[in-house]
Amino acid sequence: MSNTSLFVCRDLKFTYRLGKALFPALRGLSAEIPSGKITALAGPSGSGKSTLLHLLGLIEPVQSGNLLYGGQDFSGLSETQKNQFRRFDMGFIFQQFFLFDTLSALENVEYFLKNQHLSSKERLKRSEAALTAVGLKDHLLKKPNEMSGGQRQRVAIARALVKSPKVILADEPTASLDQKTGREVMELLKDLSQRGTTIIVASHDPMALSYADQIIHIQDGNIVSEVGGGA
Amino acid sequence: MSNFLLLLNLAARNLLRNPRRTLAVLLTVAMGTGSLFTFEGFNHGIMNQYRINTIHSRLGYGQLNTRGYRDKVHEKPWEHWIENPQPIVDGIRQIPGVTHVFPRLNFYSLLSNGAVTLSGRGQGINGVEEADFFHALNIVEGETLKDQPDGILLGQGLARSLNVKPGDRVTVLANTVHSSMNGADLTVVGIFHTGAKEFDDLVYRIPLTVAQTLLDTDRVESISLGLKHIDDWTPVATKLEGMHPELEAIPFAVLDKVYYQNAVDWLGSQFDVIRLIFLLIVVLGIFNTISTGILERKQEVGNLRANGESRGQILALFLTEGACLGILGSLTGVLIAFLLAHTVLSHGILMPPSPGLTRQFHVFVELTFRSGLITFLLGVVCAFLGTLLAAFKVTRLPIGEALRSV
Repeated sequence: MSNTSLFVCRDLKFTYRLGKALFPALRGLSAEIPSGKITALAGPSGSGKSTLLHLLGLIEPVQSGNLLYGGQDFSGLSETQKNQFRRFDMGFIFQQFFLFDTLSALENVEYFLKNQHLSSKERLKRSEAALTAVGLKDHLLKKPNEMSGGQRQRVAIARALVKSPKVILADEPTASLDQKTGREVMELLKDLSQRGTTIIVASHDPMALSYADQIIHIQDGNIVSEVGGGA
Repeated sequence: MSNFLLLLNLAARNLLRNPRRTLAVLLTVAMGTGSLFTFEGFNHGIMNQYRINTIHSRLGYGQLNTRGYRDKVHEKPWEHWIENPQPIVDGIRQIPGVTHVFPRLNFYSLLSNGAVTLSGRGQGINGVEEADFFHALNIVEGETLKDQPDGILLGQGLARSLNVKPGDRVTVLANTVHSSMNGADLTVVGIFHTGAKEFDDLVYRIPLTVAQTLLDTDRVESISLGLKHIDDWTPVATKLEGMHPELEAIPFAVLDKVYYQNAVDWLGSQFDVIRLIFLLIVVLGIFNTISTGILERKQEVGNLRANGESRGQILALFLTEGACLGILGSLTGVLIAFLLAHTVLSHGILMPPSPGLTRQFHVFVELTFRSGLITFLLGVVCAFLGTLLAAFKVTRLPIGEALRSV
């Protein structure tokens, strides 16, 4: 394990079970993900990149192998410990945004701070700052249905980064966006990584991959190549 | 905004995401609580009618007997009657809450019109005082017994069997307390109808002094009471038993267990069953409607969980939404029931004769604050339970599965 690796995966295996049918998604995958960089998990649909992202984000349990985070073994964590990691160390961005339609952009971001033990004044201040950072200063009170796809994804990014997490995990963050907006989103993530946040992106969008410092190509649950990248 | 307000804000706004579904749940809760509240008011009205009928037709709010008198059948009951009743009666009149005092004598006798002789149960009463209180003793012919010195008031069935009408003469034959026969010739002043057939077929009333003369005693069997309010019974009874330890005070519900208390218990049990059915329907209705909404929000749940919300916090969000629906729906239901009771149902509901009665009566939907509050809370609890049933499984879903769901 190198000194700068945040995640270390060793011989990770993961199988989905649908009734009696078994679908192996990861077949003994080993990789290291550096801290403070953008790492892209690339590969076609069904290759296992989203599964790996979910394992890294404690969304799926480690079935076999080892997953270390900052040297700590993730297997065997209790549900409460997992919640704590997801709450304070990680932020998720999804392709579908998952914003609350009935809340304003500001309220959407603020809601995700409710577990951070902050005063309401501090929450509002941080939420405004996060939205300003993603270029939505003039859209604080807009509801998601009054915003474009790119703006919604920016709200989702603001929601993830407002907690100041160590890691942001993004699952196909540009898939619902046009090329220009997707590029803006990736610029935002690049900016975050340059300020020390580890970004892990699962994507098969070549534009998104072009922003990665490291690209891990996955196929049939195994790494087929691991290369450095650059914007 | 505090965490609770954030939760409440989101929960309240989530209800606006699908107004039609929210309206369906609100109507389910409102219909359930409104119906339940109205039914409870109706039931309360029936109970009240029974109580008024029992108190103001026959028994008063309760009566005094010598201690243990009612516990067994006595060979010579008159030996256990209340001696020297007048000072006791005068003392009772001084107790706060007491409005009427009715010394009485009950006895079995024969009645004859010359052609027909029947057995009956006589009540020696103070006509003037009782006429003022026993207004549920419907006089169907003639007038009630007041101060007519040789008057007799007959139950409708008894009068019909004797084939007499007001103004006719009737002879009452009874054993004196010394076991000799005595008789009194009386004039029918009126015929009453309480609605309780057994009572109307058997009972007649004569002046207390006539009854005492007939039985050759100056004692009375019981002293019934009229009170300002039913709640006065307990303090009055306690005070009476303190003043006269040889007497015991028995409330009307015990005196008339078969007619009144059993009816109340029976209706109460029936109401419990119907209430349970109502509540189950409401819970299932809410569960059904809310389930659909919650199942559509699996991915949202997955996202919240992925970002650190615990299962409990997600459940709390759903339950807050359920509680909001419960509060709004229950409040609406209770208000609708209140409006109905004071408009469409304000003249009461005409009911057929109930068991043991022979006349129709109007039941009013009597809504009380207490039952309104209980119904409201039950509605909220139902909405809460329905939501809990619907939400529990979704919040237990593994995050990945929730995110993958369509």
